[in-house]
Amino acid sequence: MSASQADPVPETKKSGSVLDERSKFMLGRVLTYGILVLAVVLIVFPMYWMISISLKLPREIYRTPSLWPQVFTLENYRILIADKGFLRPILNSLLVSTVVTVISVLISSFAAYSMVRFRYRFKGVIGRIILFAYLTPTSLLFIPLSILMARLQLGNSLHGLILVYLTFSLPLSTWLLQGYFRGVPRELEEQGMIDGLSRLGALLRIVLPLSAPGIAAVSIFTFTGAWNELLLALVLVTSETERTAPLALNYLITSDVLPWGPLMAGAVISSVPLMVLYFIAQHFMVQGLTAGSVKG
Amino acid sequence: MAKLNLNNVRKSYGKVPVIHGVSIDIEDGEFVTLVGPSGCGKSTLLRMIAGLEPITGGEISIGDRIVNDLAPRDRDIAMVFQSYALYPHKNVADNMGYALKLAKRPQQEIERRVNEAAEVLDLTPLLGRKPAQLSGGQRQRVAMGRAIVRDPKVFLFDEPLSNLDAKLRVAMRAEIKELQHRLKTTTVYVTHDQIEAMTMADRIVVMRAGIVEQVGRPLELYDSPSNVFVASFMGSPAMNLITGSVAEEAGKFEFVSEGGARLPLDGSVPAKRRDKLVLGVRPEHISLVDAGTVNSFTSKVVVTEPTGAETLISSRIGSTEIVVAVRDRFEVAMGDEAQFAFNFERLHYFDAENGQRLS
Ligand SMILES: Nc1ncnc2c1ncn2[C@@H]1O[C@H](COP(=O)(O)OP(=O)(O)OP(=O)(O)O)[C@@H](O)[C@H]1O
Ligand SMILES: [Mg+2]
Repeated sequence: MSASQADPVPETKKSGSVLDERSKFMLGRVLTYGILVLAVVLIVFPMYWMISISLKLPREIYRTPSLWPQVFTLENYRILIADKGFLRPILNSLLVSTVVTVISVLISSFAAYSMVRFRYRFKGVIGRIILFAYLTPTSLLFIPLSILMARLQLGNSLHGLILVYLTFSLPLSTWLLQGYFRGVPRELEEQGMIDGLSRLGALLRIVLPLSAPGIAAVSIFTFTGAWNELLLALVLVTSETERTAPLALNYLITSDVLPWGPLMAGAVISSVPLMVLYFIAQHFMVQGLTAGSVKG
Repeated sequence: MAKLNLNNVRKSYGKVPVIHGVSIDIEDGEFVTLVGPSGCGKSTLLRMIAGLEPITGGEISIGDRIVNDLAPRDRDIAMVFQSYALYPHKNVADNMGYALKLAKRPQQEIERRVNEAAEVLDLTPLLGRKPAQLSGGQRQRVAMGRAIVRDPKVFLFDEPLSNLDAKLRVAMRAEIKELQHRLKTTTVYVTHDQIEAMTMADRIVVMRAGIVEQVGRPLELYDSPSNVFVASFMGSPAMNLITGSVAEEAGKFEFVSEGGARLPLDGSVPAKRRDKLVLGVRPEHISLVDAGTVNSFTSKVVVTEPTGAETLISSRIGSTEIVVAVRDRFEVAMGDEAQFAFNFERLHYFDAENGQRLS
């Protein structure tokens, strides 16, 4: 960069400095792309490996690992779906994750709104408790929770699972949304109320749309958490019909036999909903939604 | 359009009282400005009228309806916030038409009224833009437009011009005044700028620390402020206030300031003359006179500040610094002695104890 300022080289004079500028630029480009490609490979390769294994025949999987399947087959998928009944767990997982996400966003929106806009006693304490609840490790809680669910007659059911997942997702959702709601100027809501909205209307039609990135983030986080969760499901769910996807995959492993083909096929199927969700949510992750609303 | 009455309105935040019983009666179509120093409760009062702040005590009525317990949307008011508060996710037209849309007016009518308002405020080319793509002055006009499309009973303005530069502010001042005149909508306009208050209002309410100090027409407040606070608040440069007492000697009156300076007065001094008083005189009611003029006094010039139209001379009377505004060009250097005279008809006397006007 500094070279261009230092010597304004006339074209006649044969000098490396013009070329230097160019090659520096090229070098920068090469480095940038090189590192990016490296990062992409690091991230994408496991996914590629997962997909390619899911398309290989068993003999090929267990013999020499090749990058590209010699014979493409959907046999693994057939085994998984037809023989192992994997659709049921997928549907269970979809149900649980969606319900947890929707309820979580709803409740945490109201909770966060109240923490941000209203003044009441012990608000600070409640806020800290919420954060504290989030910081408590799952491994400390799964036994008490399973006992609690059993007492509530909710053991071994998706309802119970939903309830348990909510206890983990709500604190963080509330805490995250608070930050986004604080970014919406109070006057905007007040203007809304003067224009004819009720307080609830102002929350739904002004605060929430302007906190769309927050809602998207919270949805992703909650959905992914519920979708991938294994430990609590393992403890809480015993019957086959109530299994979630991670749990069903886990049960594919019998003693020390790892059926890699169907396992990877299951992993591929399980990733699809998350990818769709991320793709949708990405549209809402825009910055600066409140720009221009207040001040000049 | 409607009248607006505040009856002994009070507000406390927790145990802290902020508004201590304010009563104001505003006529239908009147333009009232609310002035006072920062933190005196202007915004709070306005927000109480809007319904954004619960009322601790007293009564607010719009038209003949008590609105204490009505939600903002049921009060039929329009408000312009200091920060404009434009909906960032809606374009200018939707910002302006939002209230009408919520009121379920037909689309055609909304469009017509938005276009009319945009026409008035020169916003027509900007109707499709988002607030982020507007300048400060344009945002201000959108906020204004949003209020006028509504045709509400009352306009509430909370320092709508304070984010604008000086030139734009003067222009908008005139525009708002003209607009209000045409629409004849009852208006409460908060400002801490006393010039804005003076130039725009039919009547001014001067507030201090949650109390109304005086209500009156601009020139009324200017000519006979009811206490020292109003006297010093209204007018720029501010009224000179000199503490001292009146002395009488052989039928001649003199004001003896705290620093010992003696200023000649005429006979129109107030009754309680032996007590400590505050003499108030506006800068433009002191003039430069030739040496030897009767009822004049000599004083040293500390600073002169020519502003073009007039020149401000700072001088010292006893321990008090006074400012004199003269319109004629003249040559006095700093440090010179000059001869001054009061315009006796324009002197104000206040009780030094409680600051109230004496007459
Ligand atoms: N939410 C609140 N809680 C406690 N006190 C408040 C609150 N809002 C305002 N106050 C206090 O009420 C008083 C009046 O505030 P207000 O905003 O009405 O002043 P203002 O006259 O509009 O001032 P400015 O000219 O600076 O806008 C201030 O002393 C302020 O500290
Ligand atoms: Mg204010």
